[in-house]
Amino acid sequence: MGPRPLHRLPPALSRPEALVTTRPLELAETVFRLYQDLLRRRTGFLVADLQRSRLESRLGAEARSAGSFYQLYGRLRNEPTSSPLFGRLLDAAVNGETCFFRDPASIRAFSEEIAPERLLAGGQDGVLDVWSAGCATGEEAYGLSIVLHERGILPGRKVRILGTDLSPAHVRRARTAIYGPQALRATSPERRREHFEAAEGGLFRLKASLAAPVLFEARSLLDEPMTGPAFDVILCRNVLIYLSEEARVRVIEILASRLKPGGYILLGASDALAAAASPLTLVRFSHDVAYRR
Amino acid sequence: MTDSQRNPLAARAADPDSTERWSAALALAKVPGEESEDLLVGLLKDEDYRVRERAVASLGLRFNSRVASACAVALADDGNAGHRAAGLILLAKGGEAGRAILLGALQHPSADVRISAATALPGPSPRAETVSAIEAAVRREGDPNARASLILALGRTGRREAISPLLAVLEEGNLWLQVHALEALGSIGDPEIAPRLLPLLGNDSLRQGTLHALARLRSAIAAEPLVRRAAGGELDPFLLAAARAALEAAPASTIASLRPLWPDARSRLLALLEDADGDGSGRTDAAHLMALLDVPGAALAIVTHGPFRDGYTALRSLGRSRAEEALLAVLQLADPEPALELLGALRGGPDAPTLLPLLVHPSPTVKAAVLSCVPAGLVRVSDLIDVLAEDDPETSLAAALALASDETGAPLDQLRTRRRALLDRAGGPDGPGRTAALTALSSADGTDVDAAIRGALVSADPSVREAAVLAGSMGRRLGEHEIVARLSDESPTVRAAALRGLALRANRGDVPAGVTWRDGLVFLVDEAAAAAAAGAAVIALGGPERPRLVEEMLAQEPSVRVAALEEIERTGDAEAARSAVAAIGHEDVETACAAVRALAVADAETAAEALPQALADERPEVRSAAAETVARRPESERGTAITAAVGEALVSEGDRHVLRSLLLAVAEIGTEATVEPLTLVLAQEAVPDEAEGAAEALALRHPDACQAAWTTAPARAERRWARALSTASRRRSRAPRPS
Repeated sequence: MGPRPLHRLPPALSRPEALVTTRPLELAETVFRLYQDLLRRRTGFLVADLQRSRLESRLGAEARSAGSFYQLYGRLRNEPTSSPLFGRLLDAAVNGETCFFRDPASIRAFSEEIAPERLLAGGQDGVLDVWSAGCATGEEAYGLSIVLHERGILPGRKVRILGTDLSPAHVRRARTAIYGPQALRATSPERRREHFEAAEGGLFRLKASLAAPVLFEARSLLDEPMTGPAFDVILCRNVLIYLSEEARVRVIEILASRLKPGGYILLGASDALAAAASPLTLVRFSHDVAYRR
Repeated sequence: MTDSQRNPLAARAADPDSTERWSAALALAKVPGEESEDLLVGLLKDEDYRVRERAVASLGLRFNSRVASACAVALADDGNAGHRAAGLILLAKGGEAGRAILLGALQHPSADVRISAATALPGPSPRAETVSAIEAAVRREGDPNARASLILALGRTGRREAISPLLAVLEEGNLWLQVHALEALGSIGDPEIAPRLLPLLGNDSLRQGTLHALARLRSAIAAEPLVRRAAGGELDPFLLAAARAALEAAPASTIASLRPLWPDARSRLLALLEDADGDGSGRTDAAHLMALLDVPGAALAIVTHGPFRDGYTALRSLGRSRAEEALLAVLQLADPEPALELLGALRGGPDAPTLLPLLVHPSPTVKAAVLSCVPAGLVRVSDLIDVLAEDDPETSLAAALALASDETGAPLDQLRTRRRALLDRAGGPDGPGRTAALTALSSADGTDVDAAIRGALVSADPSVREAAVLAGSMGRRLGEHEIVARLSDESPTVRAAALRGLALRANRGDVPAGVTWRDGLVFLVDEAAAAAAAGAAVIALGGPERPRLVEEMLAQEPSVRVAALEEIERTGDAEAARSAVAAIGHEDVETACAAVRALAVADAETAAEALPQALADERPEVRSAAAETVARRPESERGTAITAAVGEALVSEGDRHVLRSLLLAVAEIGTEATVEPLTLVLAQEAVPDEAEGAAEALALRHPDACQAAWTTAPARAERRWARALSTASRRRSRAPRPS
């Protein structure tokens, strides 16, 4: 492999040569590190070195518009995390690979033990508030709605499911409730038939009644306030592993503060280690473990 | 009067608070003389490891015979393992003087000391004599653990001279030492050793160690026997890793000849991929093997059963002939990840146009990426217009820029259609499409473009107004008064755009009439985006007062400070760059980096003084910025001091990111003096791609010096120099001769 050309600062913001060409701009190694650092500081999100070509492909147009990847970084640095431009960076950096019913044990613990217990605690008119933190493109949040329907809890009881994700693009896609076969690879044919309708292009659309209790918002877990709407169950699976140590501790604190008394947090297997130092109590269910406030 | 009273640093070095002692160790680094040296030597045995580390770092800057003697004492300190470790680290970094003490310690009566010394050997730039000395120690050593440590030290020399004694150890029949010898041979990394190791695969006790060594040797010679073993049913993760490494090193013709040896490769490897609960690295290697062996249906299998440990990277191992199959496979999924992997692999290469079919992928992320890497002329105008009309935040800008591209080679009527589409969208309803169209039109001329931009200035959407101001700042589409009027826009991003527009004009020498740097001051306390743009505008508009303004900007908020410093390079003002030098030591890393980058336009004397200092800064970000800046200096003004500093930094750099920046700098500015330090990098087992790039660049410019390095280099460096010299020679022969 020949030497990679060095990133050069354009002489000025003068008519950007980048705008009129379609030659791919290169995200130099050193500039990529600036992006890594920016994301770590703002969101706690650790971008692996392997993601460089991913950012290069996904932010190509924005970089061309700014003049170069370095100049785009200069703009992003001064943008709030909630701005559309910063949202594009988050879209580019965050991997949304997931599928429905990715973790059956956890789903069973939720639907068979945790949800009934929390509904009992809330009384007949109580609302079951669930938060899928780091929901990617919505498979987990909708999956919860499906199992609550299958258990007969929905539509009879009041349930609110909130899905949040760093990436605005993931949230936009989640709101469409349309999925490809890969997202349904762990979904049985019976469930596909019962809960999904055929959509254009060989895709599947979740039935409207199942999508109704689920809301999505794009925001960073680090931006969540310590006080706010409280939840009976928070699912934060395979999210903490992508965060810096400092951010992990902070996120655990935030999640714990947003639980209703007696509420549960369900983490991924590798995430659980981070919770070891938290004020939460480990509770074993038949199919999974959870942390209770 | 006590020492502590005479010397406040001595008092701090003895303070009960370890933070104080740490600070003392840091400060003592800058105090010359034997007294401060003795204090630092004392801190080598501190109870707090951070203090010891700091003392090691400080003494590392002044390693001399006194420090070496103190390290020898530390090496024999049986009662304080931290003290011993500190001495070892210093000795390992201490060049020939340190190495001499370590080699001497191999005869110490205590086996612990001998093991410690062996662990720190061979130190930097080992020569043939070092190998001989360690080999002699191996022969006389009676303690099996010390002997094993010495065997590993032989491997770390990376030199071919060490191969023969290591192979002799393999013949001895002592399993403990054989395993260490295999590890050491893997470290040397000479692929030619592979035939000597292959017979050991029949020994169950040595099989894993042998496969691990073969994986590190990356020898094409091992490909056939390993594929035969895989065909025989050996499909454990160790064998898969070794087979993958061997096939990655093998030429396509060899791989083609191996395929018939494993007729059921498809079903066997597919079974591994299908086992979602199987070993993660084994499945990953199996996916790569499928691709490398060009197994039919490999692309679909990888896409269907991924992601693996490295995502869908196995798609990159597919041959070019499988590009179509890979395209069809990634189109089977709505998930964008496999498609993006393929895009990443082909982006910027000759096969990029084949990615065009991915434009029908359901993911807007993929569509945007395709539009950013496929030549715009290949995409149908109607498709681009459709994508722009979708008004998707992810795809709009990419589609608009493709419509505006001047590289389409399209006939005039099609260019008109493209322009019309952009103008229509720029004058249409607000949304991502309108913002994108305005941005794309900033490179176009004409009264219709001016009208579209002016129309957008009164949009209700701040993103549209921002794009309009930026587009209008190009050329002279908007008058100064129109840009200045946007300084009172309610949106900070629009105010920032107006300030950037003013800076842009000033840097072009087109200073807006009646606008001065003072007009930017009020925005220095605005919201972050506008404040940063104001910092840059003040510098751009500063004219002869710029050097003074740079100093004043250093007292501003970080975002303002950094933007102001970064503007210096765009102004090309050497005096302003000199004013920024003081900020290189700023505690805020971004500020320090921005000050370093300004040195790209500093005068030769300032750069020669400041850049070597920045290359030796404690913070990796600053060192990295310095390496980049070196390469951006005008070629005639780089100077030997800077080149020498880059060479020194190359040898001592421990951060792989900074190392990459340095290697890129070497590719640009390296001289004969850089060949030796580069050889040390090339001798390492895992080197960044940039190292081979730097070697090629040096081989092209200084073939004689590189040939000399090639003949004496350690095994891995020798191979890498050979490749670089051969590539450089091919390039030279292809270069057109002057007529």
